[in-house]
Amino acid sequence: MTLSAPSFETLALNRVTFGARGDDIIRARNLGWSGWVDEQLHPPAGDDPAVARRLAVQTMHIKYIGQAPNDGAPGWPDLDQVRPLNFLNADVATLWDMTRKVQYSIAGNELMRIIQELKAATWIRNAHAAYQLREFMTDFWNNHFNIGQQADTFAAAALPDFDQNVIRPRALGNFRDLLGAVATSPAMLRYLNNAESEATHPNENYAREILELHTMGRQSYLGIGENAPAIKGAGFSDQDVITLSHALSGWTLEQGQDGTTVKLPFTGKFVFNPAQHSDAAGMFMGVDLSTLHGIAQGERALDMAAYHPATADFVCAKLCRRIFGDTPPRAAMARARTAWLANREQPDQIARVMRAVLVDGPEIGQPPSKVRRPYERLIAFFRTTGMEVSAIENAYTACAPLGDGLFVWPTPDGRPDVDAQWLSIPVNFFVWNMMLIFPFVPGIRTDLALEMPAEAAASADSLVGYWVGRMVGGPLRAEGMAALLDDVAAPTGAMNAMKGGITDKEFALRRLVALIAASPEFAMR
Amino acid sequence: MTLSRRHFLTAASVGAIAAGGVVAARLGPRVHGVFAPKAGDAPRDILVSVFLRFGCDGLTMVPPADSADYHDSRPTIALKTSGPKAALPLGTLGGVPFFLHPNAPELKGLYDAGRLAVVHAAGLPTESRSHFISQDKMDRGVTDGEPLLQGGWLARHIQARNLSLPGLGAVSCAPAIDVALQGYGGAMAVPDIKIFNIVGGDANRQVINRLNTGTDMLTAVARETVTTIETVQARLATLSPETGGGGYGTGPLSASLKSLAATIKLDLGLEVATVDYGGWDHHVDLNAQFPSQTQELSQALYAFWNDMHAYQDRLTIVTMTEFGRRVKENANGGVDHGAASFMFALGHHINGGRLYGQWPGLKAGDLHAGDLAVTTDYRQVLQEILVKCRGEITPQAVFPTLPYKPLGLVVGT
Repeated sequence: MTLSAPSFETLALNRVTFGARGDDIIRARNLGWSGWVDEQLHPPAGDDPAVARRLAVQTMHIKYIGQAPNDGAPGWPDLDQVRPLNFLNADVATLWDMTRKVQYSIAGNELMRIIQELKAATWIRNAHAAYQLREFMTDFWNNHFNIGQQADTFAAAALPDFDQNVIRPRALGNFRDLLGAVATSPAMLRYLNNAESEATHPNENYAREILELHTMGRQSYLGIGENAPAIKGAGFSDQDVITLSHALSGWTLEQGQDGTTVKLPFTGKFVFNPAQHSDAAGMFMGVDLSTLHGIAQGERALDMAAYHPATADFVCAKLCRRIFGDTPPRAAMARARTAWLANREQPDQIARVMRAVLVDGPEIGQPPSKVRRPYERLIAFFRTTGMEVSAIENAYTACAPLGDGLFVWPTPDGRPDVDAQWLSIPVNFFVWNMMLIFPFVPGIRTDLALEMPAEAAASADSLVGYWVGRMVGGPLRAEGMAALLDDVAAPTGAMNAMKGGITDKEFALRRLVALIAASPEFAMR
Repeated sequence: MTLSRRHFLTAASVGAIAAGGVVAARLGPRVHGVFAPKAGDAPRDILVSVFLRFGCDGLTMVPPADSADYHDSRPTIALKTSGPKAALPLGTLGGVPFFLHPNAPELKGLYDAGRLAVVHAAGLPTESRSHFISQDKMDRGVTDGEPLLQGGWLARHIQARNLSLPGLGAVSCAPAIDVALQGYGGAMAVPDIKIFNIVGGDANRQVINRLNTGTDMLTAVARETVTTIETVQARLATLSPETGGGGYGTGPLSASLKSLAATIKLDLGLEVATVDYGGWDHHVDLNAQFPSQTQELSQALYAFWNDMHAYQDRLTIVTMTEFGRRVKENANGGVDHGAASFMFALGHHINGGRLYGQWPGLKAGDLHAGDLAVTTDYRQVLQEILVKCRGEITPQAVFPTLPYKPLGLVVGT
């Protein structure tokens, strides 16, 4: 069986999904690439019905030992149960109340469970969602506005809200709207300390990261600001960071503030608290904020940062690196930037940028140019082999030791999105073994013999050809194809199983697909 | 977080990933090459960090067994200084006599020989009493108020020293890379060196090697991965059985350290390793489990030290735990989550046979919310070991907010 080079659809889909499946390719062919992109750019709100059904029936085991009442703390009883993903849609107030009671009347395991459920849902969505472009962009924005679960237990407990209510609905929306939603989200306000910011000396942490990481980028930083007046508008100085920290002071949460003038409950809801706001913001990147007051100062400053051309440069380049690799095509970046600025006040700005990148030029169909990170490789392995992902308690730590876990990158800069990050002995060792092991993990459902047509089992050539074609979309290098053919045709190889020999059929097939996934062709997209 | 610090750390981590991943892959071990430190490099001890997870009680491991306050707080579980299970005398700290758990005679021997030092009332200064939060902080080498440092403390050390370690230069003896080593791209997890292999063994390895035929970096690193595995397998086959007379226990720490000893003896350039020994969460009936776990700790460390006799002159072992336990015992004969505990340091360069730190006392007024107060920040111990045993010249890159204040635990200045 001679495989032809990967089709345009395979190459294009692999760049912006968690792995091109046969049905994706057929749909892209039927609708045309432009039609597929349009359909993907305008998904209905919420999970698609199949994923929603899948999430609704998931359960995970939770078990811990109780703690006896002690020193006035009531403690908690032993627990050993299989439970649905109840925390996934719990509101922040409920989860925060729980967080406050940890070690007092609630076990710490319950706190871990919140994140565990979010990670389980993320695996399932990434692997099974029909709207893959939204998954791709949600993953991108979660890394762009990175929050590491370790920093703060309240931020961690608000991560399901952050992912599902802040990022997902806006992943293809408007950047200013997204920036504003992040700036009023419990998770981010806790993670970068703006919730604690005080009028007397505003906390600069979040203000700095907004300019340096979330909008204009590090290359627009002018330093401590002596030169700032001369190159006004070209970037931001330390003085702008400080001004922004004043403008955003008072952007906080109801977290039990008990001051002389204000008393707030503990709900985690966003609130603009005048008692924490410094009205002292002056010139911000050339605009005088002192003419405004209260929350309007912060809103105006976020407008300026979001709409700044440097933000278009920074975010569009980053997005194109996510799609194309370390050196994205200049033409695609230029189209993205133009679309970004032209549509900056449109509700579907990001969708229009994506369309400009994906459809208005030929680059998306070029040969693979980016190394899949470990998590992408694993999810693509599931998708391209038809494996079904369920909630598994401990699976989600799988990629974390390689620096590719979900919601665990500790610093606000997010994972570096460069190939070198994933070219190492440990990454290979772990990823290869993960793909050899996961098909046997309870919670990954697979029956590869049923997945393939009967005629594929006719010969070593057809068997290898079928699975390589399905997973990669085209042939492996000659030596790679030969290696698989030799292996499959060996006395106890997969063909022995296909012909009813002593080799176990399902075992042989799982091994075969794991080996294909260890090829350099599968490692790239 | 200041801009400059994050800039530095980001640049350092990118460099280290290149160094640890790609460059190490090129310079990494080959069948005929033996790793040796480059001429001019400061000598670096092999550093083994042992984490006693889930809160090991320092007041049982190193009890002030003569103290009336101790016996008052723990009427049913306190250790005694006479009788069949008498605690083993160590020496005094702040005038208070301290003892070692009776099930640790091997450690007592190392202490008397001047190899083992004890730091008491050491730990993580934090308001958290959560295992997970405190372990994570300790693995990352931070304390309250500095949550956003990149990577673990050992990873930052490797990056700060700009070390190009070979494929098995930094190892966690666990199924996953320990948080302490995360952020260094070259760290490996090796739960058992005997099964350091691609699942499925030779056949799968050979197919993967052929799949990765090519001249690009992606395939080069893949083949180097296979070579590293094959080097380990080949050398394991020629390795003599454990030296030094065995003596390992039968518990999980013994298994980890036995595997680590074999890994070190492969001479592939291992420099830092993390080992976990969990199960110290004794809320109920402390004296049912603690003694056997202590026996395992003592036997395993002693056997490892002897097994490593050819490497002892460049070996340092340090133990830590995320917190000690509440001073007062509870109604179940157990102890709940507390604050300060102890650290052990064992090695050729350790000024052993002594207790270090400051004893905060056990009277009600001495305690921090009912807990033994942390008087020595655990990072101070790690910092001194990194500087004196590992040639760390920029300790502020590892522990940015901690001034360098050696306890004198390690020989030299």
